[in-house]
Amino acid sequence: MRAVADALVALATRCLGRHRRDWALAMREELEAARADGRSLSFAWGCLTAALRELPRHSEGRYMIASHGLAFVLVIPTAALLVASLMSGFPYSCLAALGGEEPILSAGNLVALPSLALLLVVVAAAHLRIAWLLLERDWAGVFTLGTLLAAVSVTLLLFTGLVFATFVFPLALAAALAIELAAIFALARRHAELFGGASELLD
Amino acid sequence: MLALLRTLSARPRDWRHGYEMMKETGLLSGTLYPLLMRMTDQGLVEAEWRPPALPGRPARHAYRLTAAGLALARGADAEDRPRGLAGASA
Repeated sequence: MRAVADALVALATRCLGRHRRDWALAMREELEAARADGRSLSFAWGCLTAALRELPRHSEGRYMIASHGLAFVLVIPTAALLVASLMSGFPYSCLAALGGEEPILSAGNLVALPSLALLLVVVAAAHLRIAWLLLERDWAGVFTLGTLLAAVSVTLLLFTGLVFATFVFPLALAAALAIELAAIFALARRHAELFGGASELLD
Repeated sequence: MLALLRTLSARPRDWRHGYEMMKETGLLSGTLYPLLMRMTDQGLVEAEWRPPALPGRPARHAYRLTAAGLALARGADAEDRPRGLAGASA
């Protein structure tokens, strides 16, 4: 119970940011008074809801909403889509179900499927790691992985085009990655404006 | 907000702590803190770190009404009073 209340107030502190640092410290001190009364959990929960309501009111909070939105709405679902397409057999068959050309599969190119699957696993894993690094604000890591992702995507595009004679789905994936990387770049710029952390990487 | 103004204006010179005000007003922390933040931003409430009552305890954030906050509280009270009297005479 104690650990949960502490975690909720710690999360509230993170949501309040520098802008409301004094208030976050005040909540932490009052938690002790609530604990003495046996109401620490409801107090901590209230602090977290108060902090969440504050998020859109300050620039750091809006940045947090944007970074979590990017991670949970774009980056992680892309990884999930890649894994789902891998599990459905041929990596792009789930996209083929939505309409479009079916890739040509033969005894010759089926040999290359494990390598293609491996590349897609690398892309999916890189997405999950990028989501984590985004939330950690580790921009050096994000840019390193982003570069790797771009390189793997070009390889994927060429590999699939040459071996499976289909460009539609790899191009769709490349377009999705380009949108993702553009969004990450925009977020990095915002981070540099707010905190100055990623500025040297952007120059 | 009225409950908070009323509580703070009852002893306007005293500094109050967040949890103490929660108990007095019946407001939950999720309501009290956003209200206090807004009122502090608007210059109705002043906040300060006060030394602990008991030695060895950490300092606590305390609040009280500013002159503007007190005027607002008294204005709200004055508005409520005729309504209360009208209700009592009806």
